[in-house]
Amino acid sequence: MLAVAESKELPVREAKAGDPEAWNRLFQRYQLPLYSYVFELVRDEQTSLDIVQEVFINAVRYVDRLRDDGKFGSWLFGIAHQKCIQQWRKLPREEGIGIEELGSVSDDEPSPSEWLINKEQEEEFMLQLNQLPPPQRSVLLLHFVEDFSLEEIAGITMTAIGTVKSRLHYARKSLRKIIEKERS
Amino acid sequence: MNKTPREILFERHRDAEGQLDAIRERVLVQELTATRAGAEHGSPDVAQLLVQLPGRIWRELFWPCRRIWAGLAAAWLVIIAINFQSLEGPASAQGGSSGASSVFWTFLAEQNRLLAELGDVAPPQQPPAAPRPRSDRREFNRARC
Repeated sequence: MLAVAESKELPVREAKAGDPEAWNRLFQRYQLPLYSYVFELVRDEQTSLDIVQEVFINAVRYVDRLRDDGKFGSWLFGIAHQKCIQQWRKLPREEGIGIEELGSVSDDEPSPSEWLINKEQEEEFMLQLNQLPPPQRSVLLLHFVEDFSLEEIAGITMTAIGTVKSRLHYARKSLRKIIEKERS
Repeated sequence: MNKTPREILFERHRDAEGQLDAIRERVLVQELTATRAGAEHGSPDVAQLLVQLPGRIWRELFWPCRRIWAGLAAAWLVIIAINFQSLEGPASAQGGSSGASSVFWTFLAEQNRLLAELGDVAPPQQPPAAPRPRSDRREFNRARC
């Protein structure tokens, strides 16, 4: 678990004290993962760069509100996720697929084997990621990129754990269909 | 060898790293300098805020409702003009009343003359003397009786 191991070594306390070098290290660590996550959701280079900048600014301004230093990464991704939602809301209805739309699919909760994604499938899934609706793409990216736990993903996307599991399950199902269609 | 999803994703966006570095440096310089300056001065940019205050008031208070403010100013100008006119009115009326005041003074002179005529009964025309001591006054009254 790369992210968990790293988060313990991250200089969050120093950053909270206003140490520029600590901030530099934190931003260096997260700039590419954040950009990748945001870009895969908004699909526009300039907007993604703007969002990353806003996330950095908000991080410096509001880092005092972060209670658990170990959750710096998920906190940062949470800010980025909210910015992406704001961006989606600006788009016309056809383009901006509602992130809330899939929030209610947690009734038939899948089993852990259904929402976990096998290592063998990961690469294939990653290549077809763009074909998924944003809510499913979002949870899949958080799962792949930073290896966040279900609880952390739920916190970032501000949804229930059941919803996260459902989204992973449906994402997996949709991707499998897409891959099978391509193969045939 | 299979690549991890993370590697696949980062490879896709490796080109943006230069721009991300620039953003990182810009945010570090702008935000941390501002935070530090605020912490050093105790209150953040108070002097600057005071300097900017007139401009901000103009921009945020007057400029957005400039028509309303112009209307109010015009209304006040009208009120002031009306007020000045009404002040000038009594002054000119006072100037015109010199005749009336002369009538008043004539009337007063007439009254004095009448009093003087009546004063033949009472000791005439003597200006009221300074009050005398009580003992003198008693003597005077006794003489009159």
